[in-house]
Formats: sequence, C-alpha cells, structure tokens
Amino acid sequence: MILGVAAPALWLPMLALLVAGLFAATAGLGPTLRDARPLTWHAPVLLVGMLLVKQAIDWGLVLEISLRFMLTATPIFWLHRMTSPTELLKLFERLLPLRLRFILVFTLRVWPLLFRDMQDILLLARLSGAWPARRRDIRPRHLLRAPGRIMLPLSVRAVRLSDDMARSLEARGLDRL
Amino acid sequence: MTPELAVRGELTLVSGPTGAGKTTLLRNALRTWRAAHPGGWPGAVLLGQNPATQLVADTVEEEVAFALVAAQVPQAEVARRTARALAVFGLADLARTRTEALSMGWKCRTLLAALHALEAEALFLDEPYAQLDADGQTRLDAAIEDWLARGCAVTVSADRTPETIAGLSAFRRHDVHPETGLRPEPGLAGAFCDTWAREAPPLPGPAAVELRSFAAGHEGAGPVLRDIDLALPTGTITLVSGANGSGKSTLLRAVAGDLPVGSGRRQLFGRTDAGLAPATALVLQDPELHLTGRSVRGEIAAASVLRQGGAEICLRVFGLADFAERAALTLSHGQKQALVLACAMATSPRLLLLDEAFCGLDADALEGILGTLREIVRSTGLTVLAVTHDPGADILNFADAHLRLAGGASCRGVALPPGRRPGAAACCSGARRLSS
Repeated sequence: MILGVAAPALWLPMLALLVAGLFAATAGLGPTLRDARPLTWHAPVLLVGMLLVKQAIDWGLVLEISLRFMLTATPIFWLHRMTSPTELLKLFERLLPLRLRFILVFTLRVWPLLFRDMQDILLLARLSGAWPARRRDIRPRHLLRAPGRIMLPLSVRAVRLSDDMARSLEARGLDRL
Repeated sequence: MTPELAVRGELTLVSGPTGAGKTTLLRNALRTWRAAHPGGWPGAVLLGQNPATQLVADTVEEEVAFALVAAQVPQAEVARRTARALAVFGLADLARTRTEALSMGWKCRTLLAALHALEAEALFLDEPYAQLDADGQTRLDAAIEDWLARGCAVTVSADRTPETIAGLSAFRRHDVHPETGLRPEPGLAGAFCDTWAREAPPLPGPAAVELRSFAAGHEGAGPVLRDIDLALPTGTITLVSGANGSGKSTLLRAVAGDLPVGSGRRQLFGRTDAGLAPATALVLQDPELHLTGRSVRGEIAAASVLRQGGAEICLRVFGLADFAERAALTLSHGQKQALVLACAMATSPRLLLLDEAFCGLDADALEGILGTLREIVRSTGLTVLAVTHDPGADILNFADAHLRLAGGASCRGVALPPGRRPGAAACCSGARRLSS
C-alpha cells in the first residue's frame, strides 16, 4: 500500500515517471533515451514468453513486470553517468572489500562499452543488408536473421569485454592487492 | 619455459609471423615472472593487444591513476606519478578527455601511461607499436630507454623489428615459430574474381565517392571533419593517413553514412543520399566486432554472396585454409584481420572501407593479401578507401592515391612512389593531383 493505492499497475507508472524525470533532469533527456533504448529488448521477449506460457497476454502484468525491470535497471545507468569508477572505488571503501568494488566498477563500465559495440554491430548488419537501415523497413526475415547477425555477436562481445577488462586489471597487478 | 624472456635492464623483442603465439608467450612470461618474484606490487605488468577493451575509467587522467588509487597509494604520490606518465606519453592536454572519445592510438598511449605510472619491475607489451603514430612511437622508445635505465625488464612483441629499438645496446631478439603464419594464395585471385556476385562497372567510371565542403561529426558533439573535398574514382585504391586522432576513422564512418552530415554534400555512385552507403563493406579496427561465433569457414559462408565455390576460394586466397575449422574467436589478432577482410570481400562490395585493417599482419601475409586486393580491384572495379596511421612502403605501393588528414580539417595529397598508375587519383581541397 503506497499513498493509499494498492494496485501496482497504478503506482509503478508514477514511480517510473518520477525516476525517468529525475534521470532526465540530472543526466539530460538525450542520454536518458539512449540508455533506455537497449533495455526495451525485454518487451518482445516478455510478450513472446507470456504467449508461450499462458497462451494469452495479460497487459496489466506485462506493464508491471516491464516497469519493475526498467526501475531496477535504469539506476545502473544513472549511477554510471553520474559517478566515475575511481569515485566508486573510494565511495565504497569502508563498505565493500576490494574485489566486490571491482565487480561493481566492471558492471558499470561494461554497459556503455557494450552499448557502443552494439551500435557498431548494428552498423555492420545494416551495411550487409542483414538489418534494415530504417525501423519501418523491418520484415519477419530480418527478425529471423537477427539472432545470428546481431544477438549472437553481441552476446559473444559481452563475454569478451568482461574477460578483456578483467585481464586488463590483472595485467596491472590489481589481482594481487 | 620463458624466464629468459624478461631480464632486468634488457629489452627483449618477441617477433614472429601472425598467429605464431606471441601473445600466449607474453602472458606465460608474465605468469612465470610473477611466480618467480612473488613479493611487491605491482611487480610485472602487461599491455594487451586491443586497447579498446582495456580501459576502465572515465577520463584519461583517471585511467592513468586508477590502479594507484585502487592500491591506496598516497594521494600526492598518485598525482606525481600520473602527471609524469601523462607528460611522457604526450597526454597532458588530454588529461580530462573521456576515454570513450579517444582514437585507438590515443587509447593505446593512455594504457602505456597507466603502466608507466605503476613503476613496475617488468613490462610485457603486446604489439604496442601497431596502433601508434610516429610521435607515439618516439615517445614509447624514450619510455623504454627510461625503463631500461631504471633496471626494468622490458619485453615487446612485434611482427617486425621497430628500427629505433633495434639500435639499443641491451636489445635481444626472440623469434617464435616462423612456420605458423597465414599463407595467402594471390595466384587464386583471378579464380576468386570469377565467382564475384556483382557485375563490374566499366573502368574508369565516375567518382564512386564524392565529398564537397563536407563536415561531419558525432551526434551531440562538434564536427570532427571540416571542409573536406574528396573524390574517389571507381576502381581505385585511396590511402588516407594521419596522426592518431586526426579523424581517419570518422572519415570512414562518414563515407559509410553512419554519421549525420553537418554541412556540404556526400555523393556515392552518383547519388546524393544521406542514408547508409549501398553495396559497401566496412572493416572496423577491432576485428572481433565482425565475428559471429562461428568457425572460420562458417564466418565466410555466412557473409558470402559469391557464386558456387567462391567461399572456398576465398578461404584459400586470404591464406585461411589451414584454420578453416577453427573457431574464429580463437584466432590471433592478425588472423582475425585476414578473416574479416575475407568476409568483407565475400560480400562482393562495390565500395570497401578499411579502418587500420592491416594491423597485426606480418610482412609476408600483408604482401600476399595486398596483392590479392589489388588484383580484385583491377578485375571487378571495386573502390577501396583505406585509412592507416602507419603508411609503410608496402601499403603505399598498394595505393593509387595517398592523402594526409590533419586535425580533421584538411586533406593533402602526398606523392606516391614512382610507377603508380596515372589517372587514378583522389583530390582534396588545396591538394595537387597526385598523378601530375
């Protein structure tokens, strides 16, 4: 029960709007929209999953899960935009052991790098014709190709990025601290 | 196996062809050193081959200081070491620049400065010269001399011996497996062109790419390229060189249509269009961005629009037949570069854009691949725009025109070695025609 309203479908949108507004006011509208864009992939996954499991779409539930996801994920971008990795290391100095602080830094650092790589992978897919240049030109065949030409390289990239960054810190002797 | 690679006060050059195992050797040497010298921090440090994925901090200054801050080195000491490292690698003016905005060469310098600030006992540098322009290479040479004077062990990998460090008295050379490189078969280029999926346009044709008073830059930032006039005739190879951060990669992305046009005109194959370049293959600086997790043969087959048997010839012509069944992601950097070039050619493009696509290729592989590309250009009318920070003699011989980009603002023609084809020329504002 928040503000006398029990239904999450009512207060979650309000909370989401509040967070989005706060984010846009501090980080700027452009970065807010750019950060939110990669998170929208969860929507089709959610809809397809619900269709497979329940053979129907409960829009109220979709909205609730979707907003919960956005509310959980968005602050990560916010924290990244507003706080440098070095500041984070210092900020949690008394709260977390060094290894956990590194994991936190990694989590924040990988997102923007992965987003930049996603743009490059999309550019390559567009140039090769595997993905259309304009959103309105998306056809079912593009969606069939997307896992192999976009999602798979992106997943591989995510693993490689984490691996390379961990190696980079190891290579500077930070695993020995 | 490798303790002799790192000797205090000496520079060891690990050289060998593409795929010889230089990176693995350096990583093993780092582990061996650390096992033999367990005390003290940081002890030995290593610079990886791909600078783009090794940066962890937001700004250049923070990146250089990051490990020192994490190690809780006193603040005054962090400031002293950071300032010194930034000065050594010419980064003082870029201290507050975001690392994301740096070009690959400046990212490499930032990482080198970060290692310099650590004042390690042993440094292992994997292909550090590959991304650096002349100024960066000179600064690295000076830094190596400084490290050696302090009694550090320095181990550097490279596919060829950099002229400057070869003159050092404390220089040793360690060659690895010279038989494991790429084996391109340029003799098959003719057979490969027979499988080309696109009809060759008549030669010489109109300009494939034409930029007039062109300005472009990244969204939300000022223009990186200003007042560019450029015309690339069909069926020619144009080389654009310039220092790290001069806007070479931005020029390629602008031609590909990935960046918003600030002002001026961009015309591709006679059409003025603000969208993506049609029938164009782009090879990015980081080859892993192109890979989809398949085997070498699978990557080429997935990209190929060639006629029957073309993908198999493509494997051989780019020297990849020996690795055909290997997972592409397990290849060396140079082998990945060759694979990505092969995949780009398998799409039968009309325009090929190459961003530092020859980095990591050893001399023999480079010669074979350049010969193949030249033959394909001659037979199919393909137009090539290649950018590099290091226009070596072999790459200059490959090009019909050579332009120099400085500060994203001007493009100047540079004379090519004698004997190049007349008529194939690119021209820029204020530049003379190269063939005259």
